[in-house]
Amino acid sequence: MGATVALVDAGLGGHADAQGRCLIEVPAAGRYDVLVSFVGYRSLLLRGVASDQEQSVALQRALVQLADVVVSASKRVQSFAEAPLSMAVIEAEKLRQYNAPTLAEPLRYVAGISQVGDQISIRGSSGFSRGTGSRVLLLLDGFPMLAADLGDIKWDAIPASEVERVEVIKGAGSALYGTGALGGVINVLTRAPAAEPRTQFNLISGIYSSPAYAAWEWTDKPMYWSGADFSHSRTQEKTGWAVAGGQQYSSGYYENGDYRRSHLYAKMRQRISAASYTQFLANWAVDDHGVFLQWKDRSEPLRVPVSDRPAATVSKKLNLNGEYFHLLKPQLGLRVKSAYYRTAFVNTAAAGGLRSTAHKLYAEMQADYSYSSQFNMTAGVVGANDRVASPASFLGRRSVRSAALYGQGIYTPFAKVEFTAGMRYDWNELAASTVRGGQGLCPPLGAVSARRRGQFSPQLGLSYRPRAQTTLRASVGRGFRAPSVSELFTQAQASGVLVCANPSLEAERSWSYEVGARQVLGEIAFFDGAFFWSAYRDLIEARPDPNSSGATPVARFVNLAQARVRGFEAELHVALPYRMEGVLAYTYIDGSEQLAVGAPLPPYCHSDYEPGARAPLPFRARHALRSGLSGWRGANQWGVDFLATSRFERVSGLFAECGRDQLPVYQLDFFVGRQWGKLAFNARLDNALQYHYALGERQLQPPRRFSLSVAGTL
Amino acid sequence: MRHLVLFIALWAQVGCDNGLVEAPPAQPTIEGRLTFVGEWPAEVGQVAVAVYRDVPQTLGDFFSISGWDTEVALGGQSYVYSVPLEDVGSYRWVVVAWRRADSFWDFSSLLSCYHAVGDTLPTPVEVGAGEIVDGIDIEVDFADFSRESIPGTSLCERLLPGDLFAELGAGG
Repeated sequence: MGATVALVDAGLGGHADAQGRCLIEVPAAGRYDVLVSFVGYRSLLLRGVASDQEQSVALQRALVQLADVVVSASKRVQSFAEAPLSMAVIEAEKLRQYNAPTLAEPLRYVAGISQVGDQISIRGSSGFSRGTGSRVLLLLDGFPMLAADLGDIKWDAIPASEVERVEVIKGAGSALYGTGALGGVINVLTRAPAAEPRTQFNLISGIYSSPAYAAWEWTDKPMYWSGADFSHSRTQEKTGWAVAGGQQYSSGYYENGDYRRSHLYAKMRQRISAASYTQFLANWAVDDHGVFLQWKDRSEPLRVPVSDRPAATVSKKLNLNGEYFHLLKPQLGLRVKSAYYRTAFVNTAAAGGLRSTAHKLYAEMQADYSYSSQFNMTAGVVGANDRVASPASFLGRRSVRSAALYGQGIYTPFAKVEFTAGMRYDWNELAASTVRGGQGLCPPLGAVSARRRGQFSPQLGLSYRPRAQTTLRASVGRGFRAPSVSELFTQAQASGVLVCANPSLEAERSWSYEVGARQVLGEIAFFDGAFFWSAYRDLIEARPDPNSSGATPVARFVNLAQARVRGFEAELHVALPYRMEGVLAYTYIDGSEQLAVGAPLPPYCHSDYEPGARAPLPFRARHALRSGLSGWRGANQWGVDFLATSRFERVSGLFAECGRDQLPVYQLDFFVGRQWGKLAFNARLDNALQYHYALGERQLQPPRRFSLSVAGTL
Repeated sequence: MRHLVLFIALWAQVGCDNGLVEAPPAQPTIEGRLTFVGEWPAEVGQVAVAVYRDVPQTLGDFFSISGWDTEVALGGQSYVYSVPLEDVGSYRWVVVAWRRADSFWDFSSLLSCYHAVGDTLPTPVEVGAGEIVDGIDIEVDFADFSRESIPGTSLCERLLPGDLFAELGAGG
C-alpha cells in the first residue's frame, strides 16, 4: 500500500496504488486542502487544490522523525510548523515502545510534561492533588474525558491499544477548549477502521526487580504485570468498524499495588454520502485495584499500614460518543458531536468508604469555514451537564450545567505570516444544595446557593516563517478552570489524612504568554525553543489547614491570591550517522506564589517562608532534562532514554518529614525491538539504575523492571 | 558505538547511587483509630490513649505507663492515635482514659480499651523491633459514659484485681 492521501476537514481519502496514483471522489467541485503522508517520509499539506486538478507530489525521506500535521491547536488540520503554540506529537509506534499498561507512562518522556502519581502537569501548571481537578484537559478524539466528580483523568479509560497518535498542547487552551485546559490539552486520537480486514493482538508482560534493600521487600512472590489486547477492524462498503478488548493484571511493586483491569471498545464509521459521515465510539473499562495512600514507615516504604491493607477500589467507566460531519460546500463543513461519560467508584472502608457516580453529558456543534485561501474560521457552541450522586458525607448530590460559544479565525495575509485570533465565552452554573453535617473534624457545611460564573477567554497567536526552515511564533491567551465538584465538596478521611470541603472556592484564571521558534537545520536536525510565562489568580491548590491540631493532618483546597510559572524549554532532534537519532530536551520552570500577608502558614515545612514573601509552588521541579538515542538497522531497533529532574523545592506540608524523601530523579531506560514477519517484539529495561525515589509523599516510584511485548497481525 | 556502551555501563555502575537510602528501623509504635459514638459529654476536658505492658495491680501501677498519646482532639468523630514505645514485647492493656479540665490524670477513668472482635477481655498487642503495629482501633461509646455499672464488670476492667476497686473507692 502506498502513501495516504486525505482531504483534510472533509474526512475523505484513500491510498496510492503501486504506481503511486490515487483518485478521490469529491462531493462538489471546488478547492480542497490535501494531506499526503507515508511512514518514514515528511508529510505534505497542499492548500487549495482544485477538484479537477491532477497534482504530482514527491515526498522527501525524513531523517529526523517529526510530526507534520496537527489537529488540536486550532480544532482543524494544520501543519505542525504553522501551529502558534508549543506542541508535541507522539505516534502509536513510539507509544508501543514503552510496553506501558496506560498512556500515562509514555507521556512522561515528552519535554515539558511531568507526572506525580497519575497526575499530569504541563510546564509546571499543576502540583499534586492525587489527580483531583486536573489542569490538563484530556480529550479522546476531541471529546472531553475528565470525570464529572473528581475532575481527574482515568488513564485506564483510554483504549491504549487503539491509539493512533497523541497531540499535546503545552499551554492554556481555554480559548478553544474552555475549563480544564488551563495548563494544556492532551488529545488522544484513535485509529480509523482499517480498509482491509485486520486482526491484531498485543501481549505485554513485565517483572519488577526486588528493591535495593532486603528490608524493603514486602513479598516473596514475583512482582509482575501483564496484559493482552485484541482488536479486529474492517470496512465493508461504506461502513468501517473496529472492536477491541483486553485485560491487564498486576501484583504491583508495593503492597496494595495490585490491579485487575478489563476494557471493551467499539468504533464505527459510516459514510453517508461523498460529503458526510457519522462516527460512533463506545468504550467501557473496569479497574479493581488496591489502594496505597501512604507507606507504612520510611523503613518499610513498600508496605502499607496494617489498617490500610483492606483498602481497595472498584471503578467503572463508560464513554459513548457520536459525531456527524457534513461538508455543505467545499468551503463549509459542519460537525455535530455528543458524548456521555459515566464514571463510578466504590472504596472499601479502609480506603475511606467513599463512593460516587458521575455523569457527563456533552454536545457540541462546530462549523469550519474557508472564506478564501487567506482566511479560515472555526466557530462552535457547546453545552454540558455534569451530575454527581454521592453520599452526603462525601460529595453529596451535585449538578453543574455549562454552555460556551467559541470562534477562531486564521488569517494568512502573506505566505509567510499567519495570525490566529480566538475567543470563547464559558458560562456555568452550580446548582444549590442543602445543609449537611461535617466529617470527623470537618466543620458542618451550610446551605450552598446556586452559583453562576461567566468567563471570556481570548487568545491571539502569530506564526511567521521568514525562511522555509524557520518558524517564529508568539501567543497570548487567557485560561480558566472552574473548580471540580471534589475540590469544592470533598469530605473524606483515609489513611490518617482528613480532607475538608471548601464550597467558597473561586474559579482559577490565568494569562499565558509564549514566544518560540522552530528551526530545521539542514534536514538533519530540528530545534524548538520557547519562553513561557503564566500569571495565575486564585490558583486552586490543596493545602494543610494551619489551624488543625493533633495527629490527623487536615487538608482542603484553597485559592492562592497570586502565583506565576515562567521558564523556557529547548528541544533538539538530530539525525546521526549509522541510522541513529538523538534527542535532547531541557525545561526550566520557575513556579512561585505570593504568600498571603497575615495568614498563618502550615505547621510543617514552612519555617523558611514569611507571609507576604514569594515561595516555590509545591511539586514543581525547576530543572528537567530528557535525552534519548535511538537507531535502527533493517528490522531491528534500539534506544536508550535518560531522564533527570531536580528535587522539588517544596511539598505539601501535610507531613512532618517535609521534602526529606523527594530526591533528584535519574532514570535510565533501554529498549530493543525486532520486526519478525508479522510479529513485532519489543524488550525494555526501565529504571536500569535501580534508582529509588519518591515524587508524591510517602510513596516510592517503580523499581527496575524488565518487560517484553509481542504485537502481531493475524 | 562500543565506547558509548562501555561508558553507559560503567556510569550505570559507579556514577549513580540507589537514590533513597535504607532508613533505620522505626521506633516500636502502636497506632490505631479512635472512633467516638454519640455526643461528647461536656465534662470531658481531655482524652488520652495509654499503653500498659501489664494490667495494673495496684494504684501505683496506673502510672507505670509504657507510652501515651494525649493529643486526642475533642469533639471529633474519630482520631488516629500513635503511641511510641521504648521496648518491644507484649502490651496487655491499651486503654482510652479521660479527665475533667480541672482535675489530674489518674487513668482510672476509662472510656474504652482495645480488644479484638469477639474477645471478652482486653487483647494483648505484640510489638516487634522497629515495628509500627497499626490497626489497633478502639471504639468509644459515650452512651456508656453515664451508664452506671458494677465495678469490674466492664470488659476493660475485668483483669483488674477486686481489691483495687476497693482502694479506688469502688468508683474509679
